[in-house]
Amino acid sequence: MYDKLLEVCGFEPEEIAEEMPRIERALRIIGIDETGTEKAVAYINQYFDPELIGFRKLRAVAVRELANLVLAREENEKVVYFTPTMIGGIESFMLSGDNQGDVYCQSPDLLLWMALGGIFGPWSLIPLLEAAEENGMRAGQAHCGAFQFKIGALAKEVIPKPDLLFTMGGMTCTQAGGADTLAHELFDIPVAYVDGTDYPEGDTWPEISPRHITYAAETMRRCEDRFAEVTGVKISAEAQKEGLVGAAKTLRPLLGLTEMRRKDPVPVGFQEVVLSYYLGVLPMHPDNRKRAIEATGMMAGEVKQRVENGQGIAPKGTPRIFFSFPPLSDASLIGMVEKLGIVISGGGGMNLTAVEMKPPTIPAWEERSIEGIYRKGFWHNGISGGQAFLEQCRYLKVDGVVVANTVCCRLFNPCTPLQKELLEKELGIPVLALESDVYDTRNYSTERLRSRMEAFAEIVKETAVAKN
Amino acid sequence: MEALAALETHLRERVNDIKERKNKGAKVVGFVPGFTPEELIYASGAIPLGLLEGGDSSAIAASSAYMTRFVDTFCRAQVGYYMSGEHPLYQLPDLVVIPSADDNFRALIDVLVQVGNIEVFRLGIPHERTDIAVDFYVEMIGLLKKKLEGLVGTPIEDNKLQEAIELYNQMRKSLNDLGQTRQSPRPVLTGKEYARINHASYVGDVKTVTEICNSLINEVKGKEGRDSKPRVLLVASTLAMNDYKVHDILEEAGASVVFEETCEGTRQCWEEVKPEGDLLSALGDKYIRRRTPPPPFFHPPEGRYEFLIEKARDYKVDGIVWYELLYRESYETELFYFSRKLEKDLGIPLVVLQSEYDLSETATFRTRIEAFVESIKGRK
Amino acid sequence: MTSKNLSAGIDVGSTTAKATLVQGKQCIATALIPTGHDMAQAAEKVLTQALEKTTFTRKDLVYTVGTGYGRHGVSFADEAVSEIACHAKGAFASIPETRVVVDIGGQDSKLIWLSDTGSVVDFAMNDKCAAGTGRFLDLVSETLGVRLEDLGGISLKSQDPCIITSTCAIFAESEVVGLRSRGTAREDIIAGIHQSLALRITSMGSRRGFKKEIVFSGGVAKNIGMQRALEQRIGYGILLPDEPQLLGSLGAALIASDRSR
Repeated sequence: MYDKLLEVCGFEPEEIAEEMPRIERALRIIGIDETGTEKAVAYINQYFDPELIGFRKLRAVAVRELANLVLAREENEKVVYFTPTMIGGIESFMLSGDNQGDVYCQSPDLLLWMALGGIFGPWSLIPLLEAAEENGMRAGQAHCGAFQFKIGALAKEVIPKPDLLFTMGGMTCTQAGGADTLAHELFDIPVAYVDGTDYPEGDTWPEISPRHITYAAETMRRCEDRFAEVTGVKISAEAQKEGLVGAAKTLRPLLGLTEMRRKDPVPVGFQEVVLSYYLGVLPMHPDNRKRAIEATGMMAGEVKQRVENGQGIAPKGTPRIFFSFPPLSDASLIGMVEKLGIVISGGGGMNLTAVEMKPPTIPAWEERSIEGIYRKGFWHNGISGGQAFLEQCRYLKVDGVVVANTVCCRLFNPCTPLQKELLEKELGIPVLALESDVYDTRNYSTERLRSRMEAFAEIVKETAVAKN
Repeated sequence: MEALAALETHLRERVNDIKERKNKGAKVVGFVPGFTPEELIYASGAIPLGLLEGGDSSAIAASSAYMTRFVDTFCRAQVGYYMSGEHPLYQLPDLVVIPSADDNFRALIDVLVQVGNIEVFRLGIPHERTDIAVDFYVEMIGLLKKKLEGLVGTPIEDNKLQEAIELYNQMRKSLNDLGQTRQSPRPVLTGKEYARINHASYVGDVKTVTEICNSLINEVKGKEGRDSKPRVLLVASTLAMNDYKVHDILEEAGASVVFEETCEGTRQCWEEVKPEGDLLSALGDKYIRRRTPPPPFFHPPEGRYEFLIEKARDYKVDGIVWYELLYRESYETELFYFSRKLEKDLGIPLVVLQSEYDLSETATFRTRIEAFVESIKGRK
Repeated sequence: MTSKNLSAGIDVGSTTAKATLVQGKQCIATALIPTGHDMAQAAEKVLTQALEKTTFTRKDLVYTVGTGYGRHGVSFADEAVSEIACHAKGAFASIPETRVVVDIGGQDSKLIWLSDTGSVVDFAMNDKCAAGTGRFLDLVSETLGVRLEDLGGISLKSQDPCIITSTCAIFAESEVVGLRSRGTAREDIIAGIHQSLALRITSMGSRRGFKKEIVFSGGVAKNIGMQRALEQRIGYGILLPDEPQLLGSLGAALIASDRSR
């Protein structure tokens, strides 16, 4: 039943033959039926650039990882889940100690969002959202969709119950901690909380006040002890290094891709880049990581070739915008925007600000992880979120900005009106605040947003013409 | 009751009192109650002024230019009060201390830092009751101490802080004693009256409020009300000052709140500061380590459920009103697993009321509360 | 370019379809019909009606721009342009002092800020909830049994407008029913509704402000009560063009005329 699906996801015929039984089992547990398979194939064919082989391979990597997650309980001794902000660092835990592979670590909120929703389309996540709504995260309460994916998947037994939830909830967002407490209450899962909080001098971004870092790092060490207690695995310094290096190897070509979007004409669609970026930085089983490094390298090569050939997805000189957060699991919004005579040259949290390239101020692994998270302006607070956007827009020299912050995110979203004002004032270009949601695509409708996106594109084009 | 009349007079005159003292050079430090050590502000010689107004839809409307909608109703209202310039209390402070307790409060601070015409002290609040969390908090209030000393121009001496701690301990003890008079089978004091004096304890002068509270205790002590009314436990994220619609409707329906578990409510009064050793550590010990019970956004919020059960039994409550402000999701999530357990452990009805400070809520609240009170009466 | 230089703007809204024909910058004919259920058909029909008022035929049209909620359904148009750009263009052409356009439509309501040269600087839109759109007035007219066009006149008689605070049209409707059952005067309810709608609309623009000339566009502009309520919120007068409903199609026609050169 899934042959066609695996094919469009970039599996080679011999890989399909070999891996089908395992993947089929996982997809059945997730509940992808015949209609779902058709929908997924149609979605992939409609929205994704068929010429990018590297991107196809990356889709296969993501589907494999989805199977790794769904089957984690039977294939690994221990299973531990982390909250999304730990991305990049989680693999260190997977690589811990001597019994490599015995602990499967994942951030299911993210993997389900990107691999299931991102590749198969928004419809595939709705059952999870609905299950979460029946299990303590009611509709209409502006709960975060990402955590609803996890709660819904646990409730539907799509993903196994982990031995430990390692949550950054206290530190970055209240909703994450709340969702993990809910998971503990409903499914009796032990939770280790990393805590963190504001500091009076909280507005020093890009510099992060040291006490912001040390308190959270201290609680993180405690959680690592808990991890060791539950899994019997102590995280070694080598593993930490290896995990970071592995993630960096995938990230490097992806950052190259992000850079290539600055070229004129823009060589590749925004949805492809942003989705591959997030698929690439997902925590992965070590075997799958090797494939991911290969796939992203290939994709970067293909796009580089396009740049050299002067090939683009829009004519040279097309006005450019920055789009803060695109819904990864619904390509229709970006698809619509890129048909309005403008291109998106950055956003999605991919572009690094100068401070993120600096060496950490405190080299210990915990401190550098925490500092890395806070250096991403939007994890720090609403003010630095706006400043990070500003820096990225200046670097990308865009003609307009769409501040599309996930409506239900009480970390990113509350300051949207003031971020719009800041960007307008500092950049002197049109800025649109768009109510959309990167996780729960039911919270907006692309068609409903068309009017304002069209009007905005008209203004951007007019100001871009006036400027040149 | 005479004491209540005195309380209202004190509150009415408070704005002008503060203005006069301000004109003579006194500093005013506003704060959001809950995690702010008021003792420290008082000890500095500045006037502590709790800002916790709510219940008003125009404040919500005024916030929309600065903040998006999906944020806790109370925090949005605060943005409205600060920015619209219409509420007299919000115009008084020279500095305002806002505990950054969760994302909603962080957003409130972010807005005020960017566009508010007021200096904000961002008081970072850890979300657990461990030693490292207490240490962090103590360090933070150490910075607050320095900030206050800079504002008033003189250092905060230990004896002043000691004195302030004792004053606040006394006030909280009085408030607690007053609240406990409602354990009687037919309490004289209504839930709204208690909420009022509790709110006044943040806005009013600590000594005056303590005196009023003590006379109120004398007035109600040993007395019994006429009828035995259904007894209600009120759980709320924030019960804001002047947001008394739930109390009003409950009382009209013939029931009364005998206990409240709200962020600025009796939670402050269960533990007193032990004024010994390092005084900032003593404050940290009360505000974080012995916080009873922890709020639902603490990780983990251990002991919270047991506390509710215990109080529901002590106060012989007949039902629970769960008053949620829209988009304060930590209470909403908690409700899901608490309501299942409560049903089992206590076997009493629970009614959920969700508010966005909209006047039209009154009609639906009334319907629900009346049905809730009827079902309690039906059980008796 | 032909000597006739005839261009058309078709504005297909959710309730009415409008057509404006221009030669250069000169308006020569307009038409307005109810949209009905078939938007494409309404577009055809309204253009035909406008042309009938002239000596021209479809063949004489050099360029046509479609706008409004149903703009993508105007199959014969050369281009679809957003209502924002068209309302701005039309308002600026009618009243060159225009710096803000308020448009209350059936599907959404908008605020549009213009530069001194008439280009759009920013806009705000509400299409999420009916309590901030013209649909709210439809609901009220149905609930109270008052004709839509009479709402404005009746509301002016109010001495004591009610306070309607519901942020949701559904709740507001029950609030209205409640007021009615308590015997509140009709004019007070309607005036309260106008104030409530005015609050929703002006709050969209409270940060950017209304310090410049404001033009009221769209069908609701004919409601004098609504105009007064907005003026009261903003604090000074609002300008009213002769044909507020036709500003969108006029703007579309003028854009078409620009494009035809």
